[in-house]
Amino acid sequence: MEAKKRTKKLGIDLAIYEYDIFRFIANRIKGLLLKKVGFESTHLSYQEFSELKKHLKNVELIPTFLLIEKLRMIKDSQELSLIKKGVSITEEAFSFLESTIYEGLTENSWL
Amino acid sequence: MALEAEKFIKLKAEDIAFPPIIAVGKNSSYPHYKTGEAKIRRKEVVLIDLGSKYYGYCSDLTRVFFLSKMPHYLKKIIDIVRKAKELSLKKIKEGVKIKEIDRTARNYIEKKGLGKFFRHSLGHGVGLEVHECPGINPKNEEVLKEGMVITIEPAIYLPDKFGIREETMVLVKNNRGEILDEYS
Repeated sequence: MEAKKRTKKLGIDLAIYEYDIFRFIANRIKGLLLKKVGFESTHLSYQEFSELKKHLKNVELIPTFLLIEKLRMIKDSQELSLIKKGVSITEEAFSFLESTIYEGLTENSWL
Repeated sequence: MALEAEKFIKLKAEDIAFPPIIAVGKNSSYPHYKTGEAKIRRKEVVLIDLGSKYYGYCSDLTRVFFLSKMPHYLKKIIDIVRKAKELSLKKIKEGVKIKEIDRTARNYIEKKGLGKFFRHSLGHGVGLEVHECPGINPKNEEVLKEGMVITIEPAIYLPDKFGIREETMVLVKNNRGEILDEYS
């Protein structure tokens, strides 16, 4: 409930399903009176699509291709600072290995 | 070493982005080698490919180490890979076709007669996933845009000998590429 309250402030409507996710999503879509709904064609299996379609006979399901992935290509400043921090951690790991590497170690471990 | 690298990363970040690749000698000639039991030796290449995951965001870098003085044949290959990397890095800026970036490195390696030993794409986007859009390959007609984060990782894999791959991460800016790791 707390998560629901907090996400609401961010303009996100958090929904939690209990057992049948397809029926749950279908009901939400019907509740929003949507006639056309896009889905990510590289991620939804045919089985999942069929389940969804079963509950949404009057809704047009439209395949999209890498829609979110294309949006994700451009990083905002917050994402960039996390990536930069991650890069510096990886570099520290290289320095650590470089300072400790010696003949006889195995690829997998010190032993 | 891979276990220790993993432990080190997990002390500072939430997770590794992928299992560390540590490849000694001949093993480095396999682009997607799975770390095994080979021993580090003074006169063999040690190729290390590491990445951390920090608040969900991945990093991915590859470096090659050599414990003694580098023999000439090895230096020659490393210099070709580095030069290929530098040439393509210089081309990075908003608006450039992605395939041109790949072509620049690939043409140089081909010119040196080693094209058939570089068979994967030059790089990829990095973000919530370690490999994401855009793919930096010879077929990608899209253009670079400011704010993209990509890897540039030219390589030369000589079968049954060794492989050299140098991987750096770059932020695309409107007039240049900003290299995110300092080593390059």
